[in-house]
Amino acid sequence: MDSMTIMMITQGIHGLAYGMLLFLVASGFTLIFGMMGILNIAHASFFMLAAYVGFQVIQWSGSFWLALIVAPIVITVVGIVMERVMLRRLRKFKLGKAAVLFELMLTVGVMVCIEEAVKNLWGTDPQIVNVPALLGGLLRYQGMQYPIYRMFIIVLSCAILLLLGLVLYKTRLGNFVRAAVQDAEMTGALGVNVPLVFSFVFGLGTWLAGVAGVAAAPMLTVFPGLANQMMLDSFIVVALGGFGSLLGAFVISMLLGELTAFGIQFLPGYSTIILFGFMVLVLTFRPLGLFGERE
Amino acid sequence: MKLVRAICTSLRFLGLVFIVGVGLHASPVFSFTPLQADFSTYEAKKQVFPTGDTIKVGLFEPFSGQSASAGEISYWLLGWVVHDINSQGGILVDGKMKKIQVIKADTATQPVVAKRALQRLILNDKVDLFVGTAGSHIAIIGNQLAKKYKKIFLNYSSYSVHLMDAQNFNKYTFRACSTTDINARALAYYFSKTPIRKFYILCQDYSYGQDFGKSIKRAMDEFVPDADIVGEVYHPLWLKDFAPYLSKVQASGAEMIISSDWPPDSWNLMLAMDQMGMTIPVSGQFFDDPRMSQNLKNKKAGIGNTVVNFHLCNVTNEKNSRFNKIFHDRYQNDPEVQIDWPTGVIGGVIGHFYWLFDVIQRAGTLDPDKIIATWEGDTYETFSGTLSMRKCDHQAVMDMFVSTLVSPSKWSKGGDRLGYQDEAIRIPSSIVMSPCPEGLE
Repeated sequence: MDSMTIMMITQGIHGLAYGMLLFLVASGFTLIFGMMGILNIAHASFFMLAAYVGFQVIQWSGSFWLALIVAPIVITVVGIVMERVMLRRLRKFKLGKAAVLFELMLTVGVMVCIEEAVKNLWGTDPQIVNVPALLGGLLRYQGMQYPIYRMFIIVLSCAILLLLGLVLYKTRLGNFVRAAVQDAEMTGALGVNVPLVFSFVFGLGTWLAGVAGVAAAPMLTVFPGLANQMMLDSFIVVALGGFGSLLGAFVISMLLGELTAFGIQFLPGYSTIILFGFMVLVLTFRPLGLFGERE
Repeated sequence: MKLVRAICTSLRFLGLVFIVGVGLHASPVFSFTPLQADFSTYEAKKQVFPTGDTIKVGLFEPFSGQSASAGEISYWLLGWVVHDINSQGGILVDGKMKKIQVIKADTATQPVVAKRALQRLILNDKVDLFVGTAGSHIAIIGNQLAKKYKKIFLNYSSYSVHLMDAQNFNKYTFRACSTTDINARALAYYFSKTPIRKFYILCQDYSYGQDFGKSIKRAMDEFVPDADIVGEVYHPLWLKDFAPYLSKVQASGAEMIISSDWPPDSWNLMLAMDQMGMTIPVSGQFFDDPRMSQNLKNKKAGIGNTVVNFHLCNVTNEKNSRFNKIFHDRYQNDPEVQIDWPTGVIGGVIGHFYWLFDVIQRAGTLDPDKIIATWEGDTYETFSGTLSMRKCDHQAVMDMFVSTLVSPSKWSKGGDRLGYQDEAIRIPSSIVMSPCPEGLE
C-alpha cells in the first residue's frame, strides 16, 4: 500500500477506536436520560472511577481481564445505590419541574465526591495501566501496522453494541425498557415494576461507563482529570444524537471520532472549530439532535 | 597601678570586640545552610507548619483538576526546603527568628479560579510572598497581583517568554526557571552538534506551547540553519488520544519530535508512541519522568529522548553529588514516591526555593523593596551551577543541561532501565540566554 492509503486507513481506524470508546460512555449517558429524564453529570465520573478500580484490581491481581470484569460490576453497584438511595428518594418529594434541577445538582455533588475520593485514595499522580500481554504488539498488513489493543477496543465495543441491541430489542426485559422510555406511567399501569426497570437501566448505563473506563485505561493515563476529559465529548454526542437515542449516540460517536482523526490530519488548526461548528449547525437546524424526537 | 588598670580595660574591650566580631562573622545561630536536616523524617503528605508569627509563603498551584499532580509535587518540593530551614530554627527577619509557614491556594489551572484563590491568599491569609505556578496563563495572574498588592512572587515553573517582557514585567516578580527561548536555544545548539535534521514540532495549544514552537523555530534558524521542520501541530491541553497526531508524525518522516508537553500529556504521548511501536525520539523538558519511562514496553521506546533543563541529576559536581545522595537515600525505598533521583525539574525547583529563602535571609527583612534590592543582580550557587538574577527583567541567568536517555542507565530505578546518560552536557549561559527584552533596560 502507498503511504497515503496507509495514512487514510490508519486515521480511519483511529477515529473508529475513539468513536467506539466514546459510544460506550455516551450510550449509558443517553439510556439513563432517555428512560429517566436524568441528566447524570456524574456519568463520566463513573467512567473515571472504573479506570481507578480497574487499576487497583490489576495492582492486586496482576490481571487486566479480572479488572475488566470486576471494575464495571463495582461501578454498577455504586450506580444502583445512587439511583435507589438518592435519586429515587428525591423523586418521592414530587418537586415538579424543579426536580430536574435538583437531580442535576445531586449528580454534580456525586461527581465532586467521586473526584475528591479518587484524589484521597489514589493521589493526584497519573497512574499507568499496562496493555495486557495478549493484546500487546501490532497487527501488520501490507506495510501498515496498527496496535492490537486499539483493535480490541473496536471489537469489544461492537460486541457490547450487539449485546445491547439483543437485550433491548429481542428480550421481554428490553420490551419493558423501551415501553418505559415511551411512557413510564402507562407501562407501570400494565403491571410492570417500573422502579425496578429504572434501576436496571441505571445499572446498565453505569456498567457501560465502567467497561469504557477499564478499556480506556491502557490508552490514557488514569488521573483525577479523566472524567472532565470525557464529559464534554460524551455530552456533545448525546446532545447531537438526540437525548435518549442509542442510534443517535452511535452515529455521532463514529462521526466525532472520524472528524477528530481526519481533522487532525488535514486541518489541525481547525479540528476543534470543525467539531463545535458541526454541533452549532446541528443544534440550529435540529435542536433535539439528529435522532431526537419531541415528546 | 594605672598601667595595670589600663591594660585590664584594654583587654576587656578587646575581648568584647572579639566576641561581637565572632558572633557577627559566623552567626551560626541566625543562618541556615541547605541540606542540614534529617530528611528521613520528612513526609510530604503529612506536613505540619508552624502558625503565629511566621514567614507566610503562599503556594499558588493547581490542587484540583487535570494538573493537580503538578501542585502536589510543588508542595512536596517546597516542603522539603521548609522542613530543612525550619529544623535549623528558621530565618532571621526584622530582628526575629521566624519559621516558615506554607499556605496552599488552588488555581485549578483556571484563570478565574486562580485569581480568586490568589486574592484570598493575599488579602485573607496575608501571605508575605507567594510562589508558583503551573501554566503560563496562570502565572500572568500572579504577575498582575504581585504588582497590585506589592508582594514578591517567585515563578519557578512557567516558561512562556512573554511573562517577563516589557508589557508584563513588574519589579515584584522574579523568574528562577528557564524560558521557552532558553530551552529552545539549548536544544537547537545541542542539535547543531548532531546529525539529526528532520524535526516535528508537537506542542500543547496554549500560550506556553505556542511560545515554545516560535522559540524553537527561531533557535533552529540561528543554530541549525539546515534543519528541516517537517511538521508543526498544536494539540489541546490534556489530550485524550494522541494516535491521530502520531500517525501524522509517522507519515512526515521526522527523525525527532520536539515537544513542550508536560504531564499528563507528556506521559500519554510516550505511552501512545509505545503502543503504536514508534521509536522516534522525543526532545523536551518533561520526557525524563521515571514514573512514565518504567512503564514503556517496547525495549527501544524512549531511547534517544533528549531532555533539556536548568538542572539534571547527572550534572557532575561535589554539591550536586551530595544532594543526589541525600535525595536518593531518602526516596530509593519509598513506595509512595517513584522518583528516586532528583531529576530535572525536581532538583531545579528545590534549588530555586533555597535561593529565595537565602535572599530573604540576606535581606534580613520581609520588606519587598529590600528583598528586590538584594535579589537584583544576585548570584547563588545552586546544585548544578551558578544562577544570577538579571536586573533588567528579573530573569535568572543560567547554564542549561542536555542529556539523552539510554538503557540501561545508572540513573534509573534499580540502575537497569531507561534513564539519563552518565553525564549531562552543559550549554553555557552565554549561548542560551537572550538579551534583555526590548523596552527593559
